[in-house]
Amino acid sequence: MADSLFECLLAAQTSEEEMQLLLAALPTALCRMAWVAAIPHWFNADVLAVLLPDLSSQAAGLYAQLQSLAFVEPYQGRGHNVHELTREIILTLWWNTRRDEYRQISGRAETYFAAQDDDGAHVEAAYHSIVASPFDLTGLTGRWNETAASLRIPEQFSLAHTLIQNAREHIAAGRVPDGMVRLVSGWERTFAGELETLAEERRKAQDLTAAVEILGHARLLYADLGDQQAEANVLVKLNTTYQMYKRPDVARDGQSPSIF
Amino acid sequence: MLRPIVDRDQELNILKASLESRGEPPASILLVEDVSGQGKTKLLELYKTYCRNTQIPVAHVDLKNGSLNPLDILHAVRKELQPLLLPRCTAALQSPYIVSPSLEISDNKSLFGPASYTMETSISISGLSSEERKQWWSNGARALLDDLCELAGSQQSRFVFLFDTFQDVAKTETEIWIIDHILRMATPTRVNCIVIVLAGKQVPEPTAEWAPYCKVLTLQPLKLVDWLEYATSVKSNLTRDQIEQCYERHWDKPLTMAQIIDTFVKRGAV
Repeated sequence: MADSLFECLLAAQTSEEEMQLLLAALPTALCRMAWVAAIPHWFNADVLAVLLPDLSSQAAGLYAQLQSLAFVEPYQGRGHNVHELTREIILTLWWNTRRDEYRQISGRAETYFAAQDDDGAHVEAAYHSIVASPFDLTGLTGRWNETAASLRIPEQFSLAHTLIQNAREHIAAGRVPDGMVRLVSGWERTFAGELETLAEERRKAQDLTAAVEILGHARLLYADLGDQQAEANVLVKLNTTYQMYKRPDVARDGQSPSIF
Repeated sequence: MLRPIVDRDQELNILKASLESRGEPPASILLVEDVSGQGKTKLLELYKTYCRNTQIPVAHVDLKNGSLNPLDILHAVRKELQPLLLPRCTAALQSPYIVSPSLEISDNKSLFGPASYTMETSISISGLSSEERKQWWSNGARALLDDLCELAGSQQSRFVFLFDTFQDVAKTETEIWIIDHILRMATPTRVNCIVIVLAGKQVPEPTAEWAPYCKVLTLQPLKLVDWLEYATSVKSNLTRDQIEQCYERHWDKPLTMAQIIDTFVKRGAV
């Protein structure tokens, strides 16, 4: 039996085939949980119980067993996660071979994370909303705008990047329609524009530190969009702000965010 | 639950050597840069275990997903260690400007015990101007490093501060805080009491200020003999020939190698 599995592994042509064989070699309940654990960016026993309700009574035990697998690693403060390389393969398998079930579990994940009192969890919910149901532009726009509204304070700007990067994960894997790609790009551009406005307000209020920081985030968003013209405009604004900041040396450099 | 890890003796010895202040100047910042799946996180895990087993104070912050701000990092370190041993850091976190719906901290953790805590919301600062907030970041970093140095002194050791998945905070306020405050303040005055390890797919380019105290650590590809030893240690059912066949195919994918070998342990146990 073991030899037979080994022969199959050697014969596997792709990473996906290999992964299917390796997961199938696990005990049935653990195998099901390993597949499901790859869907969110992090999980713990509570998350697993929600994602796979028929195994909820075994979730704590299976969570402990998952931690002994090579591709499971700690996720600080939240539990554990499936290693990014393994996760990418398993998500490809979900999408290509079990799409309806993937959508269903993503829907549970969206509901669970949206109910948490935590902006990071809301960003995770927005990520799952992308595949949870067939494309609904109005619904998704509403969900994303709602999430984004909570990210407009300086400490949470980095979460806006996480939100976008998470969406790009689905886009790069071809799991979203063109409309969604446009929605994410449009959302990113709108958010960058709002940041520019916010930075201008801070600059007028002589809060130059904030203006520089906010412009830095706007610049990153334009760079992500590949919009060199908009990025250049932000750089000009940054230089002007640096000049006001009496840091012409940094202004000349025009790049460094390290002025603090 | 700590699963067996393939030996990384060579890299681990470099990290261990950083704890001895014989070098001139001592390497107090170590950068571990490599592509995904090569064992950076496992190496940090090994080093952390070594530190704990030898009573060397250690704290570990994983920056995965980029959602930790500097305040969250202070809070995470405080939770990982005994809060009572970090008085300056504790005072900083008790500032009336700090907003945290779940700043409940257990004070009974062992200094060298495992770090595990449950999901919580991100902490933020309110009521401060940006300039004041930046000043707070600086003060927070100083408070943390002073506490860690004092703690290290009481243990007659150096404090080991590990950051993993650094690329996830690239271009964020957290990256700026780590580079401009933590790394700059860690050198040169604190080089004898603290060792900082930064691991990730990208790590910061050393600046003139801290480059003299910095060492870049490259992960070496694991050899067949490493995997044979690993298979023996976990009691895998695979034969030497089979492991050789796996290695020919996956020598550059340690994660896949480990998963295959582990699979045959589990099947053997059933």
